[in-house]
Amino acid sequence: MKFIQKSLLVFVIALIAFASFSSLRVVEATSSTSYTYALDDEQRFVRTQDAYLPGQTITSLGLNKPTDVAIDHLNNIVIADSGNARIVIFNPRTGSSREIRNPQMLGPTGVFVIQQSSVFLAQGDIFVADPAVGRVFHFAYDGTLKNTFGKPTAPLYETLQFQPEKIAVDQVGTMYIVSKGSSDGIVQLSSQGEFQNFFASNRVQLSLMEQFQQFIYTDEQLTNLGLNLTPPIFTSIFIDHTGIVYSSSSGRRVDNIKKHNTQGNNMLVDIFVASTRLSDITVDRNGIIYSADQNGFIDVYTNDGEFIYTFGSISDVDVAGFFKTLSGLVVDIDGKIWTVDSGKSYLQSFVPTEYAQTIYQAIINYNETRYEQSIQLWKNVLRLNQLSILAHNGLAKNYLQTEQYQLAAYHFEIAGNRTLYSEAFWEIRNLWLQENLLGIIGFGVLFSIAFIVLRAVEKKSKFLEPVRVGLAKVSNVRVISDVLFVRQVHKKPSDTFYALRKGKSGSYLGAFILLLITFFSYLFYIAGKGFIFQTQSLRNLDLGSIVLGFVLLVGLFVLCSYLITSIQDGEGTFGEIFKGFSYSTYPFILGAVFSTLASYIATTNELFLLNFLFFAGLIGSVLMIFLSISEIQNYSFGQTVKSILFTLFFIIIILLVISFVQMTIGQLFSFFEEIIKEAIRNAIG
Amino acid sequence: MLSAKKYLILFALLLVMTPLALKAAFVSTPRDTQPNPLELTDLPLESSTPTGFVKLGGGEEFGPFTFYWKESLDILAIYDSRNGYLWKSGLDVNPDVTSATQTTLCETDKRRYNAGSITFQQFKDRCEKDIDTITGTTTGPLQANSLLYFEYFSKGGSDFVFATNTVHSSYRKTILYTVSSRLQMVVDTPNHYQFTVKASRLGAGQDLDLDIIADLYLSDEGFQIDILSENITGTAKPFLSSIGVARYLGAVGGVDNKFTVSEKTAEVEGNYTIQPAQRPMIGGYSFVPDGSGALIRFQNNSVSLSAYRAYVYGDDPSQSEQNYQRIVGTFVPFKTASIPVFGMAHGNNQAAYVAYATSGAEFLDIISVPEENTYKYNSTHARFNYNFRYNKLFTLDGDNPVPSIYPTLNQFDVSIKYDFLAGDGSFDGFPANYVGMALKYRQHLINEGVIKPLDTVKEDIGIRLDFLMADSESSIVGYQTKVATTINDVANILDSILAKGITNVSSGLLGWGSGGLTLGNPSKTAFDSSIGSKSAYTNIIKSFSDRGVDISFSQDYYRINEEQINLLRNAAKHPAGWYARVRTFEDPISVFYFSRPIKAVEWLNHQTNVFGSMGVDSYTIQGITNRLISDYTTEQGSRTQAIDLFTQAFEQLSSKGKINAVKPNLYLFPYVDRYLQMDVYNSQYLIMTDTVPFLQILLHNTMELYAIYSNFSFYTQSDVLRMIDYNVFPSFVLTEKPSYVLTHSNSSNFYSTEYTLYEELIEAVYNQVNGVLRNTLGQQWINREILQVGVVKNTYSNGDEVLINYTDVNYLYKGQIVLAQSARFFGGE
Repeated sequence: MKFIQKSLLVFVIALIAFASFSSLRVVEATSSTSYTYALDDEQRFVRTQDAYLPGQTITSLGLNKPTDVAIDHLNNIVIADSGNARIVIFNPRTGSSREIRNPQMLGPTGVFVIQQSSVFLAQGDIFVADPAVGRVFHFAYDGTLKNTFGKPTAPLYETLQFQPEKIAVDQVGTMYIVSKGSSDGIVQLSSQGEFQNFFASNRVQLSLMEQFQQFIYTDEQLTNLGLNLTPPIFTSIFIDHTGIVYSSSSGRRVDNIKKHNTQGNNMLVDIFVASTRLSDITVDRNGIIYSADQNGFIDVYTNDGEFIYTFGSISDVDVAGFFKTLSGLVVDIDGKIWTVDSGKSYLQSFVPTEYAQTIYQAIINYNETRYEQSIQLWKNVLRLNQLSILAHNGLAKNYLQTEQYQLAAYHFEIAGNRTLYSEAFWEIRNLWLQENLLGIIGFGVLFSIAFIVLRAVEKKSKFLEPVRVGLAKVSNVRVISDVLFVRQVHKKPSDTFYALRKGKSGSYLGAFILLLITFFSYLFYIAGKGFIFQTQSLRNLDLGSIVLGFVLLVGLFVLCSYLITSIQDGEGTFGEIFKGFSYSTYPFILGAVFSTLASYIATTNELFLLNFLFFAGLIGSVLMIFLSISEIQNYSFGQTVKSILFTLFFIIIILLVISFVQMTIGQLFSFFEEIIKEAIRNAIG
Repeated sequence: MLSAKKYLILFALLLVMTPLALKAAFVSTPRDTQPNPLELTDLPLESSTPTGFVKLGGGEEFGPFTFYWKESLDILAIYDSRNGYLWKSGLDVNPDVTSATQTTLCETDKRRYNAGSITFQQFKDRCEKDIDTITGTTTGPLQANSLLYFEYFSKGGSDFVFATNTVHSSYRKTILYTVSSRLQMVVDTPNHYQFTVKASRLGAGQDLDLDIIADLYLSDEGFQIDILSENITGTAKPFLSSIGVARYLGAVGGVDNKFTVSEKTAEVEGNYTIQPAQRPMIGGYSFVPDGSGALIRFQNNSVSLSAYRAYVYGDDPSQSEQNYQRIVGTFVPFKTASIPVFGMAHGNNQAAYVAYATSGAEFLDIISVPEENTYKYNSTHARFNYNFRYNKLFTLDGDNPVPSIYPTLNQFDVSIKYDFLAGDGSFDGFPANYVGMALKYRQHLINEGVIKPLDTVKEDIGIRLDFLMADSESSIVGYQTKVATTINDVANILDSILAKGITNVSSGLLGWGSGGLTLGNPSKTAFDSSIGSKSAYTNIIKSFSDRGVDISFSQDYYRINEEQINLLRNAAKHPAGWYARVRTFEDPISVFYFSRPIKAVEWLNHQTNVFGSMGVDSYTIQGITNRLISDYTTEQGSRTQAIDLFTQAFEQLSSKGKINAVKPNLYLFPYVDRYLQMDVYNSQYLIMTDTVPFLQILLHNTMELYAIYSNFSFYTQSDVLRMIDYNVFPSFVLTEKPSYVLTHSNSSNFYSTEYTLYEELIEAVYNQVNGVLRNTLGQQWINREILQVGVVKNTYSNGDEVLINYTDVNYLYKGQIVLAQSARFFGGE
């Protein structure tokens, strides 16, 4: 009995030991051959932990230009071996393989396997697209040919080519076909091969400049510009287990990755696409989207199209994980990515690391509203990569859902996600207001009462007289009073500018100080806004250019205005114009400063208010400048307008001349630099 | 009859193991070591007096070896009496018997047989043969046989293109040029021969000639080939590109054209057929020193795969076609071959050789060509480079480059030794596998004084904790230094580590000075008080030194940039005329240059003097430890001179304190105390089937070996096991602040370094590795075996064993369970 107890103990301990160690995730020794890149807060690629490691490299299949790959219901790899005119079915667990051949099939480039049986299709049915013969082949899993489909006979399709390159099939047997070279869109055929319509098509997206060029240039000029107006063709198509259709396209100016609704419209709008020469697309059972780029990159996106990371590399050297022309990829039920390369003749798998699996699990948990679990997983991701914007974003979204707004805002700020930060900040501000509204009102009332009382007391006892005298002394200092004279501008502009002109008030020093204040207000505006509105990083600002630009513009305006008004019977001198300009900037200073200060407590909902403050100041200053010219030069309205227009024109001319001279001097400088460098190189070694 | 007790125990054990076996998730990849190759049951035993061969030497002086020479084909044969194995320096293929000549013969005999002139047996005897398809081209058999070959540059039709032509020593007569070769014994020295190759009518004008005299030394370990620089003569010498040695020594594979005859019948005439047939591939592999070491198993590839080529001690940015390189940063840089050694093993612990260069290593290419790559053989050999092609530039913008070759050759003497191994190690302790190769080479290095076993043994293994202090990012005006760790933070973190009972700690400070990691000037020692003042550094270094913790300053003396230091006279020049440089996609500094070795040493001396005065115990050096560059500034400097400069500087420095070197090359081994960032993988060429700890076996117990940082994709349980398996100690790089403070600096690649996030992991990893490896400190690692896929056994000189189980299944060894994904120490007798 004692022995049995001991044995049971051993048994239980053994089970516990097994339970502890079986929870260890199996991750193959971590080493990759290509780096994994994610995005930073400025949408630049930054390195991150390896997401996938090269797994098996299968060189024994004798592949020749393999172009597409799929997974069957038994987790076998199905390869379109184009160069050998066959379909290969490879079992990665046993290493065995079989092939499907057909005399009619000459160069299969696309393959799709039916995962679940339906009334129309059997599980494991294989559809093959063969552009070489312009047909689609429908095989049973054992390789028996069930049907073939040639060019549709519909009148609408009569003039079009039918060279099926990639194929996907839904549960009712409707075929979605990418036809080689067709810019009309994805061909949709019924289960009987009848043409139904073009499921989706690509449109060329042009920038404003390109639209302008399209408008004025000839076709030949557009071609020379490299502006191809033919819609980019689809390169691949995939249907996930829920029946959603995904497509990939190659080229710029197009939505490279599309997730189609039943009408064929794209549900992923304005997503960041890491690569543009896409050759294939696939989606796993969790909705994670994987795309293959011909240049050897595998990009991974969330089900919402948010970029996760990219990895892979292009090379002629045969190293595990390098590609020459990545042509197809698929994800098996274990999460392994299998790829084929039409420039190389082997099958390559990639195994997800713990890092990748944690990210996917965190995304799934968030989608399924298990926020606490998701938060823990994102924290694990952050431990492995504190630079992960995806993790900060993911964590913040969970915090937002769980109403932990401070934390949400903190992580959104690191992630550079201004839109959602604004939401979190709105909530924080709202909560703060709710908590402190009574206090604020109370404080306001108390302050008002105190102010009134103080004022009454002051009236009687004049106890603030020393302060008032002190302030008056300070404000009577000539420079300070000259600067403060600016306050008169918005009250009585005409009188102010007249006073300036006559030298009764204001001074050159005061004007110069005002201009400095204007500059710093401008700098404050462009560099000092709150996080939500400060879209430009300080790091990327070039102070030299800002100073130069400001001085150049102000200087040029004053100079040109002086020159123009001199020949237009203006009465003002150069100095008076300068003073007039400087004292006109007062509204701009107010607008810039208050707009910037307000940006710290505003959210994107109040963007209008900020813009209003700034532009009101700007317009106010423009008006003041107008009035200053009118008053100083003693111009009528029309003369002032004419003078300003000439001034602006003259500024443009001078800027053009300056840039020309600058280029010439630059070349001259380079010339001498080359001579000097050459001399140094030869003389000193 | 088993008792109920035994049944129950058995049952319990089965329960422990069965569910794990069902998972069976461990999938071995080329990053692991595979089980031993198949044993050869049919060793290619040949007579000890091979036909057509002349005996060169045998007997006591040559130990177990007898050497033979076939003058007609330039074949050196080595008979090893220990295992009865015959090695040949080439394939020993008769170039006069080709598929074409055999076809002619068969055609003639077929007609004669059908005409009744000869019998079927005569037809069969003469026609039925296996002809190696390598004879299908003119150069095939000559390449396969030659002991030496050389390549030279020749201008072809265009003046702007230099073609590379290859001349094989057994290439006797061709239309284009003539080669003759002969072996002669040096008078009264039966172990010393001279192999003379005379080539004439070389070049487009057929007016050049080249003579090479190679010295062949025979010994009781194998043979050695020397080619002295002065023994290369002739008008073609300035155009000499490279010399290769014993290209097909031990080559395995081959496809035969099988000629088969058929008898005539009343209806059908007698005939013959030709069918190509792959020869059965024998078990075995080539070893190449890629990273920690890689094996390339002999296998039939159904596709053509890239060959492995490694320039020992790293590529030379000044001896490249362009004066710039572009690093896109998408792939992990290929591992460097830091030791000039390679080898080949046939069978399972049956026959092997290890080859190593003892002179000229800095110009050595190790090349391993897989089967299906032009010829159907797996082969590995050495090639020494004398000259190179480059584009000469005459304008700043690099337009219209002129293809050129450099007017003077690399000056060096070649010396390469081939030692042969036999059996499982019972003959001499060197088994005929990669472990034996490593041990044999280790013995050579110890004999030469390059490495020596450690005198003192500590109780615990070491841990390396580097600190990333600061780096620069662009700012609105110039650059600003972002501080991730101050010297006080370092002190706090180290205190915390010591409090955990981890005491054998050494640390390097990266980006310790003004400008941080990227902009810190290597020629100066400018401190930044926001990181740490000189006095603060001094105090903390001394304080921790007293507690046994070694804190040192880490500096890269190789890679420099224009914002960091003036390039004039500091950066190495490419013969193209401009500085050799590398363009990256890093930010804010994207273009990097390479320091001149003479300057690097000057800076090293200056900085280490200052560090020494601050009381450091050691010096952490990177860059020049594993990179060699030729310098084409007015006073030129070759790779050989760079080695001399570095070794002298390191020798001096080693007398002042310990040296921590990042991935050092062989020539620095005598001075290195801590090997940092040790590779535990190879480059993963598809032809590489196994990763092995060759470098680790070589250096074990001669210096402290630290693995790559665990922070970056090297933190899983499998990685910890790999540290134990490879006998390397853990290392981390840490910051006090989160990594994202450095996001916009060149240090953005350090994406996970914050100490608070690693505190627990450091302790866990160290305790696990130390828990096993501390028992083996001071012992020599003498064997490594793969017991089954994913289960490794390391054996030490005192009989201790460590079992590493990478799999998901528990493993029973000596009656004890080694749990899945764990390692266990077994004490010796």
